[in-house]
Amino acid sequence: MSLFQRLFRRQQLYTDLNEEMQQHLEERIEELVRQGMSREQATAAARREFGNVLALEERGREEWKLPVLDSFLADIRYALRHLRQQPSFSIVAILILALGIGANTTVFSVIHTMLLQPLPFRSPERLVWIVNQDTPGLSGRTHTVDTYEALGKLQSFEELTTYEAFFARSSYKLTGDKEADRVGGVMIAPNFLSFLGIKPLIGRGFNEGETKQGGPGAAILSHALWQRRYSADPKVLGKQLTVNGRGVTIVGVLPPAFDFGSIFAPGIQLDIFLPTPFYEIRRWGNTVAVIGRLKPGVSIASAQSEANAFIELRQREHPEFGQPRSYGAILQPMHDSITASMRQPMYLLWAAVGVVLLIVCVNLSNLLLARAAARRKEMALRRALGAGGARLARQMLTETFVLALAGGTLGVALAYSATAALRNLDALSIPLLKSVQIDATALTVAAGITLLTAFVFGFLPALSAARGGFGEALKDNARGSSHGRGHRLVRTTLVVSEVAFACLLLVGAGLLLRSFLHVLDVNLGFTAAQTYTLRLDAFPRLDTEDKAAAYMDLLHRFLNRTRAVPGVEGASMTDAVPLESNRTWGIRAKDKPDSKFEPALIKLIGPDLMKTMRTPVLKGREFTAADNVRSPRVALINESLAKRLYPNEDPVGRAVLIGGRDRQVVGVVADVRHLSVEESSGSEMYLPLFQQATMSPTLVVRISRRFEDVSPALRAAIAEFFPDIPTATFRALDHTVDRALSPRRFLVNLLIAFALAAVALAAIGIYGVIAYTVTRRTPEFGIRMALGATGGRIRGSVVADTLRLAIAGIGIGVAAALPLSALLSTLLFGVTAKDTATFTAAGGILLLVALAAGFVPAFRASRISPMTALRAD
Amino acid sequence: MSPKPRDRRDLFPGALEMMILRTLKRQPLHGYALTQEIKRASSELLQIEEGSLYPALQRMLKDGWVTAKWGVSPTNRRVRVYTITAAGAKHLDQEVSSFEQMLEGIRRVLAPVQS
Repeated sequence: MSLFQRLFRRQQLYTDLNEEMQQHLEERIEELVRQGMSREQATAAARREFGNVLALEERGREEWKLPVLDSFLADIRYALRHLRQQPSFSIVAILILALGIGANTTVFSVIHTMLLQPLPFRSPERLVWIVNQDTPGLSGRTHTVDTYEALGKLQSFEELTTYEAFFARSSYKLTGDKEADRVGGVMIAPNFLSFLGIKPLIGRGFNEGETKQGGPGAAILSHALWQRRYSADPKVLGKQLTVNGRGVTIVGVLPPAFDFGSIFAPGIQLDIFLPTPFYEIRRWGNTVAVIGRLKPGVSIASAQSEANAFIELRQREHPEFGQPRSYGAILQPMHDSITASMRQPMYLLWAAVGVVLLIVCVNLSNLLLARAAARRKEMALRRALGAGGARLARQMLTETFVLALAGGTLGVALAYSATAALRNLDALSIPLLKSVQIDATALTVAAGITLLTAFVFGFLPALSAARGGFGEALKDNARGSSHGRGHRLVRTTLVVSEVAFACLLLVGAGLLLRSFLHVLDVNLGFTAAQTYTLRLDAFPRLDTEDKAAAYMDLLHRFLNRTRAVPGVEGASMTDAVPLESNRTWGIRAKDKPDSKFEPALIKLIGPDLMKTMRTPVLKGREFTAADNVRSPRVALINESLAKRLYPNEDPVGRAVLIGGRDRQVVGVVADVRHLSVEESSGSEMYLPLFQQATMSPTLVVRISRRFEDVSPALRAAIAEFFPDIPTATFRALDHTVDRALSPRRFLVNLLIAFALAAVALAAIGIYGVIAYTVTRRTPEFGIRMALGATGGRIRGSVVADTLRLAIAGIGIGVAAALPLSALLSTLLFGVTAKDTATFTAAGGILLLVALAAGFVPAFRASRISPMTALRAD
Repeated sequence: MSPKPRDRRDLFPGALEMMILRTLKRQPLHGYALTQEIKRASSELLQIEEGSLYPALQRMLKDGWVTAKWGVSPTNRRVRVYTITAAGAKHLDQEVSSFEQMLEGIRRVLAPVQS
């Protein structure tokens, strides 16, 4: 019989035993009657023979007993009964625990997925990025197709793969089989999926032929697109689809677990995968991201030295490759480079959530100690009845374990919904967030946290129960005398530490909040509000000047038509929306022949873009419709580039070399935060879109009314020129900025939530201790009031007690925060780690909260009636 | 088990279980019938006391040597019938053989001294 059956089927066993013995007795009686006894005699005789039925049954039962387990179960039953008797305490305790454990489990699963677990790819530890140069901008991180192919000769690598990295600005129009749809997509090398160890859910990956000129068109769908557009129809394979006007065959569907966006471009949904047309993008410059898998046993350092030698040789053999684009090959472990930016914020959150749990423990410890004080008589009685200290401590611990278990279970449930919510946060550019889930490790950690929590917060109350003075508590007049000092000191210490921890979190959250506010205040160089962007179709092939001129004319008329829409304040075009996409070209001052090519972000823009984006033109003019294929080639540069190319000189009117052509600088514009909100983007230059065709431009409109009011007319205007473009894909520039800020916002929001939880817990702690003190000192207050003390005086003394607690806690918290906040310095923006305003505000908030928490008991103390107080107890 | 007269204790631990198992091996029986059967088979030399029988049966249930099922006795009474299990039969064999060895040993020790 298994232990389980023994535990849970015992009641049945006992009833069986009882009935069986009853039957036995009756059978014996019947036999005796048959032998000639009267029924009474027989009954008496049988009973005599049988002995004490109860005792016998007891002996039978004992066979099934499990002494340790049984007393444990009894403890649990007792604990449950006890907790039910104090529902408000139990509910508060369980909720606090659930929040603490839930928050910790959630943060752990994020960290586990993001930082601790290897990437969900084949032999992830050997994967490295081969970036071009460690400069900002995608161009710095990508290579030309030629370099990608040349890198394939490196001996350190087992295999290389690649994808076209500028996908963030590509959108693909799906037509042909169902209604038109526009989705994000990326072009991948044929070996990309097998390289990462990803098997298509159905169908296959691409083959070499599909990347060749004139090769068959093919596409692979994301799981999401397959479900959305094709209702997960497995017969989708082999179907024809038109992607940006080109017919392709659907050859595969990716598994749901593989979310390209969440790893390679957090916050961007990518739904269609196309084979990289190497023949075409070969002439586009640095466009492909290169990932390599090191051979087993090859260190990244030795691979790096091979790459260095290789690049050096290549630069010697082909000096022309270096101008204007210099290049290199820097190896970075793939996992590191994907998650590096999140490492520090996540560890900070981990520490913060750990502190919150610590405060939860301290708080519960305190609440339990308060209850232990109220239960002293019960404990003393039980001790008098023979319970040992260890037995009582065990029982107290059982209670805390029951609480912790309930809190932990609820906490895990909370963590489940929290991680689901995190997964569904769109437009959050945090890598791997879409794969976060509560797995076995997270559950194990949650269980560990729960047990540890129970032990930490149950330890002091258990100790107090074990040590409780014998006998004294039973006496009525022992009120507060023996238990008093030590007990109160412990509780005071606990509350002070709670305040100190809360102070620590408040300072941290405050510093990051102020940083965030500073980031929001950054002068972006453009005004995002009321500005909307819409990707237009790719240019047709503009191989003759006439074709180009005709198309430019179309765009010109299109812009004029758009500007005529009521509510549109300005309209222009760009090929690179700030914070969305970027690339770098080289530029050099023509009249300084010995100067080097300067890398600068390049943007191809329409007329009046600066006016539309509200980017100040500092010198000269911006482009007009007159800057087109028939007019002289011109360029705009930003202030930073002007300073680099022409220190202390006027750049306007000077000739520069860009992409092998002369251009005249016609103006200098303000710097724009193009790459990130928090960092300056360095050199930037602008060429007229009407002189340099781009793959596909983006319409930028500034409106003066609500978007909903303008969009119908705007849509109609656009449809006249581009009938297929769904205006639903209009994107508010505000959202683009928000997405760029999302990791910081995420961190700040969570930190503030944790800090507020900490403050609330500290307030509960303060209230608990002060209220307890007031109850304990009721007779004293009664006497003092009887002797003439006013309510105000009593109130004052209680408030003073509260302040002492709070100030001690704040003092310790500030002292601890001063050195610790330095650890945050890399995450701060515009504030120092010792920001006085933040420290003052944190202290002030805690002081106010403490006063509020202490005021209720203080008020009660001042209302004590001396007569009642003296009669109490 | 306690043989008559009452002041004599168990011969050795496990003897009661051995006899119960041996009896059940012949046929499944309920508690009362077991006492009757052992009494009969021992020509009334042994009488099983209920006080020992039921704890012993519970122990054997726990160890999986016997199983119990509610049934109806020939006298039309609701009774719990015990059946020996394979594990119980194996245990019985082991016990019997070690018992026989012990008995043989005792017999040799008690054999009349040869002069």
